[in-house]
Amino acid sequence: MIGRTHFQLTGWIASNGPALIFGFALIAIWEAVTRGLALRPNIFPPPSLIIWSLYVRADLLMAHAWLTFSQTVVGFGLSVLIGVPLGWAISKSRILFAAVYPVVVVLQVLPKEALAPLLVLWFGAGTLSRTILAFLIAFFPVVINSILGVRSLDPNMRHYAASLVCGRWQLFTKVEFPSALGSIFAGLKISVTLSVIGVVVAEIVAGRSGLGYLLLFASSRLDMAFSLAILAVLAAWGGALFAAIALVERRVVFWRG
Amino acid sequence: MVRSLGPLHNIFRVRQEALISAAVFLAIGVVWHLTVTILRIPALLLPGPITVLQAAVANADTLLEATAYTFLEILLAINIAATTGFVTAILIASLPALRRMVFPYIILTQVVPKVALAPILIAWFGIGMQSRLVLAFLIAYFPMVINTLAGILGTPEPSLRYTRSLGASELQLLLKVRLPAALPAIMAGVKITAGVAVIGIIVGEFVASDQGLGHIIIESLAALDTPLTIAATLVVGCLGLLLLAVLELVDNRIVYWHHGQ
Repeated sequence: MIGRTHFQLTGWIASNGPALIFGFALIAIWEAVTRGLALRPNIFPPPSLIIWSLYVRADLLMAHAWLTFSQTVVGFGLSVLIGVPLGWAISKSRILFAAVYPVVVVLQVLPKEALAPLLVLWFGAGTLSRTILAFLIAFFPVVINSILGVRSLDPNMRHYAASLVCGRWQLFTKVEFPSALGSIFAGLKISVTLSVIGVVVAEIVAGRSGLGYLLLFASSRLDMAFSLAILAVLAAWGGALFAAIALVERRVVFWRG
Repeated sequence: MVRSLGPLHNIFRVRQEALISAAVFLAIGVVWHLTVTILRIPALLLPGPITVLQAAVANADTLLEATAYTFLEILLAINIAATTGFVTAILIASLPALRRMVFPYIILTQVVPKVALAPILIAWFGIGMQSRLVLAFLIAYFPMVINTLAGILGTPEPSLRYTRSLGASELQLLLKVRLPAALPAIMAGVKITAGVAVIGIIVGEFVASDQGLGHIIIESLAALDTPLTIAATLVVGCLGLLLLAVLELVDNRIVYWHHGQ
């Protein structure tokens, strides 16, 4: 077991080594250039200063990060809870599919971020408008991928299941749902990062709290070290959410390699 | 599927879908109008579609000017992102060493909420078209790179081997085999790029607000001129829709063999 882990580690380094070296080199050059040319550290901060402000302002960051994090999770969760069953219903009913699917496709390509100011007008500059924007942006990829997942089922599978005297419920739990899961998870991975974007846009456009607001505030005071630190936190949060979904996917859709 | 009908069948299907969409949107408009009039919702909160239309007509000059400006910005951003993304992808595809160095980071950028860069870019580039273009570029560039690269690297191995057996050079391989094979993926990349470029420019106009439709939305909101806010938001939506419809048409023309299947 240890030998195997060791082998995996060396394999990982062999495949990602160049990228790691490139990343470190980039950070080193950035640090050297900003310090060597004596650029104004508040506008062009060296990486060390960004990490330092991450550490110094940890309390302030945590207070605002909590709001942003919880709103993305709620917005994304709602988009899944409503999107997957709706996608299911749309793909199962011929009338719903004909009437709703073209509309869903049109709404999908509309820039929902443009709704941020209107949502603030209707629901205030608080938590609600941000969660709604996150939901609206994350919702459509979930619906569309659920529809595609259900409809991409090989008809032979359905015939085969029917030949085994499979009931409706069994057809759903044993055949249709598992086969749609791959596509559904692809949608979830898209929309989980979109939900972060939704919350951040609403916070930037009209927020009084949250990381987007904090970022706007820090930038307006030309504290770029702190601004970039906040951006790093947002990137890490987006990455963590994506990784979490990918992890669940690997557990749930284990047969897909 | 009725294959023999071919394009005719396609046109019929497309027409039918367009009709249904139009009917649904018309229904939404009617419901919107009825709700506003029956519930007597104040125009400050939610004006009816007719009030919005009146506001659009009354402010036609400013709206048109802003639309032209925003549209220009969007087109510029799409062009810059699509060409640089295309070139980057070809470079990365032809240089495996470069690919190993940067590809993991290009994938990583997908989880970064790049719209959050808006305030930072204003500090660096000032309030104006420049910071908006940089924002839209940063949002739109990476999907183009990823899609083009996936298309070029996903060329079927047999066609590569066959062309090599005919004595084709690597350049010929790229121009005659890889790029045509990658065309569907490249067009998909352009469509994603166009969609997110609209978002980048509009968010940029919200934050670095001095011109364009985003500026009108923010200004009218502050002036509590809700009909104009909604009118401008609808124009943004139509702009995005129009762009993608045009690209869809172009896609159908260029990659005709892919859609016929």
